Amino acid sequence: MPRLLNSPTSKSNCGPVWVALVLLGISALNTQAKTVLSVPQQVSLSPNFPTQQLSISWLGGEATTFDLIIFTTEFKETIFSDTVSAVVNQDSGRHQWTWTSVEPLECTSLSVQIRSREGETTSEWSEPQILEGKDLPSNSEAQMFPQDRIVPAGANTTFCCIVEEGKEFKSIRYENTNMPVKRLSRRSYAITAIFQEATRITGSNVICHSNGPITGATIFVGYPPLPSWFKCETRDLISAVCHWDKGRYTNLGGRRRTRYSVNNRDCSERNMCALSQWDGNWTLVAANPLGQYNLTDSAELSHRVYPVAPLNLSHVAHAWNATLFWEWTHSSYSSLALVCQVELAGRSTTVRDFFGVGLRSVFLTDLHPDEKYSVQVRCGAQNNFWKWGDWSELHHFKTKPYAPDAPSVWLWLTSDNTGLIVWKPLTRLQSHGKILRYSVTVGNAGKTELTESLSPENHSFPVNLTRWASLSHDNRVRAAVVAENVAGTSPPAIVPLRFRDVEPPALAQAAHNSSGFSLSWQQNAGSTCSYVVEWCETLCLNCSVDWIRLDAGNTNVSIPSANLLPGVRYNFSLYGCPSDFPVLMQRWQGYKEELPPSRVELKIAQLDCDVVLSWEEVPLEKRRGFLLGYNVYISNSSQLTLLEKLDASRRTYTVSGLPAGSYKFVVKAYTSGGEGTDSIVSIRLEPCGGLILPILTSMGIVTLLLATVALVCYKKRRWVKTAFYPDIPEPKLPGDWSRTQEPMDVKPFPHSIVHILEKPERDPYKDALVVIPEEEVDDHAEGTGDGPVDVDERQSLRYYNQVVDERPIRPRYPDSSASSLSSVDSANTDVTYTGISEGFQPHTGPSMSSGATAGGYQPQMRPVTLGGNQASPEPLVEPQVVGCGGYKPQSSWLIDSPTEADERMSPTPSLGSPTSVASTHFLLSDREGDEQERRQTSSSAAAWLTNLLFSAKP
Amino acid sequence: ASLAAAVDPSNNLASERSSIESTYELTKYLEYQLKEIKDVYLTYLGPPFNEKDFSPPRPNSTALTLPSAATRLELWHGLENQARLAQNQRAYSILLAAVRELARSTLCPSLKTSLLHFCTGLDGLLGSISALMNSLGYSSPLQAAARPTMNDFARKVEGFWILRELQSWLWRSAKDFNRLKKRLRG
Repeated sequence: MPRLLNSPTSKSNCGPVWVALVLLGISALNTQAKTVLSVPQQVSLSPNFPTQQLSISWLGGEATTFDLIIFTTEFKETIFSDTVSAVVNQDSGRHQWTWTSVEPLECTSLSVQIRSREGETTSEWSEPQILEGKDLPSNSEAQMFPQDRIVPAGANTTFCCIVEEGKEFKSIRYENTNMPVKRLSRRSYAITAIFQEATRITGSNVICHSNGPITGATIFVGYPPLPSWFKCETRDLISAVCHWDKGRYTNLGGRRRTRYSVNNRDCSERNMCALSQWDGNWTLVAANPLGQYNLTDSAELSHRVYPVAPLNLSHVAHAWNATLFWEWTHSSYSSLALVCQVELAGRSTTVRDFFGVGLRSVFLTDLHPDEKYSVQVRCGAQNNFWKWGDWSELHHFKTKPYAPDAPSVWLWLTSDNTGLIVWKPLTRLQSHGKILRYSVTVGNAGKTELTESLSPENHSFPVNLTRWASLSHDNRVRAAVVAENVAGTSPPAIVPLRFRDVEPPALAQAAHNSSGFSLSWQQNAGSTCSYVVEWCETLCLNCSVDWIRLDAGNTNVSIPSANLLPGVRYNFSLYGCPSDFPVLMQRWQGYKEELPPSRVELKIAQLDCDVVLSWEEVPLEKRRGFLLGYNVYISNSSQLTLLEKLDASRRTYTVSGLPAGSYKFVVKAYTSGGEGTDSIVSIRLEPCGGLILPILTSMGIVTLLLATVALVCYKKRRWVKTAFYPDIPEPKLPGDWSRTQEPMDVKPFPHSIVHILEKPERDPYKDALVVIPEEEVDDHAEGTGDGPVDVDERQSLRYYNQVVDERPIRPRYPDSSASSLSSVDSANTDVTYTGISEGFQPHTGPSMSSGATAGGYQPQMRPVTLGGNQASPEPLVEPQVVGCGGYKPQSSWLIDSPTEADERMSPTPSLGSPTSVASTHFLLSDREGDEQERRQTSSSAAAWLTNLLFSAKP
Repeated sequence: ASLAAAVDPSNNLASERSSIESTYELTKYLEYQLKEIKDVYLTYLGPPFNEKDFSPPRPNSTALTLPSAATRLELWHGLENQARLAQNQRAYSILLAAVRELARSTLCPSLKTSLLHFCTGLDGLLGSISALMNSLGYSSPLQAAARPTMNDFARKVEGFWILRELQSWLWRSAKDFNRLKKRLRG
């Protein structure tokens, strides 16, 4: 978009007019004193509208300088005012001066006035000479200027719009931009676009809007031509053809396009010029409305030879060479020293150069038999080379076939007594034509024993080595393979039959790198034999074998592995002297790339408290690498914990010290390629039998010991009795107190009888759920003050005479107080509590101690004086005590326990009875309670044993 | 061009109807084709010619010395068939010459190709109308015109109007041929 600028004609205005008037006044004064200058006459205006130039001429007398003023006729606005030195036309004698207007001259009428000046002296102004604009009322239609203007990029252009008579101006748009407007006259308005950019080829549109019809103009902004690389050359050695590069785009087209001419010959159409003669000097003129550009070139004809393409290519082909022929369009080439390039495309593409005068044929060597070739030719001048001529069209030919090369043959031992004579298929370069058949000959010392003809698809022939070994006396049987095509047979490829390979001492690992398997060996001193390195898959007997022959002196080779598979083990065998008597020198095994191995077959078993994992060796085909070992993991939910890394020789693993439970184990074999697939086993570990056995053993021993002791005691019962149960001496009593000696009467004291108050029918299992009323507890366990104490312990069963000093233990209450209350309410009880006294005189009731001291032998009880019958009218039950029973010295009291009635009569009914440790009362149990006690004792033992047994289980 | 083949006046009504039908189809096709070319051409002229509301005054140039297609409908319908066909033929012969000049002066090669292709179709339409007139026994007026010198902007305005008039004429011609076909059927 052009930038906007106010028109330079907007210089003001009335100032110069006043200056002119002042100068006029001064001039008038001077006129009186000095020479009077003549007023310019016959002022003539000659406009050039396209260039916006106004040529002003006048007769100016003697003056050499003139003041010139140009102003708009209508608005009297000065556009130009200056003192100029006008040129005098010698023919006409008129002064002439040319003024270039910024605005198109058509925009509005201009008035021109001139006066002579001599120093400070000036003449009068000439009469205004008017150049009429197109905005006169006589031209009432709308117009715009300039039209079809062509300007260089970056130029400024002023447009004016003359609106239709009587219409009102609105705006002027330059393309899409509304431009600031300067009014030149009543109907004329101007805009200026500055620094215009190159336009599209159809130009930029300037539109003037009014309330009348739209009017507009188109301007073309572009560049002058700027061609380059103008050169002329000859193709026929007579005429000239000139070329050039058009250079930058001028943005001008149509009738404004650039026109070219060479040596005044119009060459606009094709941007090249063909001149019938070799001028030697050429001038290119490139011209468009914005300018002209000239380029020249000069050269001798021999320096500008640009040969045409060779024509009509033909050939005569043989197996290994061919002759190529062509023709030239111009006979003049026959004397021209040429250099020709032949591009030969077969399996590869080569370019060969040939030299010669008027070259029309070349002899192509080093071709391959039975090969298709494409060829094309181009030439240039050998002397003063200018450029290569055009390529000829492609020409195709095929060489003739030739006898094939000998194939590469090897004997592959597939077993101890069989082998395969194998040979590599011949490549196209080796076969020299289509192979028709292979012939295999096996013989010994020049005597042919077997000849077999095989189709070209066969590349192996089986031999029975045992048979041939039996036929051969010196083990020098040889096999020869011959290939045959239409052109003949190949030389025989001979391989000696070897009947057995002696295994080398060691099997090494073959290292693989980016270039393949790198094998190296030491050369036998003095050996001049060549080598063969053979390789094949270790396990695949039906797979192909490959080999490479190496010259003597080689001590290493890199076996290409592009066709080998990763994760597959390959055997590499080095044979020495393969052509005479092949000897297996060394063997390697290797992987192109080691991969993680397959999973192992995992087993698991429990051995005592241990877990034993075992697995089979990974089969070779599943190892996929050299096995480095095994990783044993234990699986905890989703996490594997490594237990141990084992080397490859170990295939069992024992896990010890695991408690009973379920376990999952994972074993992975690994190679340098990584860990293989998980092998997962799980086991539920049973409790170990080792704890039960010692216990049972111990119990058995103890039982046996006790039985032994019992037996001994029985046998020695007299001695035992004497030693441990001596007769109690009869007391010395006055009177007839003597008695015969007899065992101590252990009948309990009558007062030791348990006083059973009531024997209700009840569930023995509920006996443990009883409540001791608060008041009763308080009464009988005064001073204890502590809360309930668990007395379900054997140690709570004490002799009553030991318990009295201890604080009483409250019985365990049932879970529910309600049930407790109901138990109380039921008043069903098994025992009666009685007070215990040791030298204790109950403060209630009379002393009843006298009877006690008169009792029988009381070996472990001190005489007890009971504080009367303290049996509670509401019998309380101590379930724990009931369950556990109490000390029953010599167990006689049970058997001889008195009747209920006796008990009622007894003053000390609880003597000999166990006491309730909770109540400091004697705890009395009836028979049923005793049975329950025994049941409980036995059942608790059984429970203990059961617990022991089952606690060992998980 | 095939449509321009002369229709024998002795052909029956069905043949005339078929000829009218073909002319109608060609007119519709050219109308559609012109719609696309016009957009490209106005863009080629540059703004504001490609603006929707831009409408410069219709120049009174030689290329547009044809009656505007904006004739009032009732006046147009009031004409005889022959008069309408003659007007159509005259208009298209003038417009064909104008479009050919547009194509010649066009500096965009693809647009030039499109315009020349359109000219071929328009020439066929002209031939069809002539043949139709002959088959109906009407005489064909022939005209030739010289082209005055114009400035580039005026040429653009003229091109703008040529395409606009052509579009209007094609639209109206399609209706004319449709009506003519119906009348012949009746």
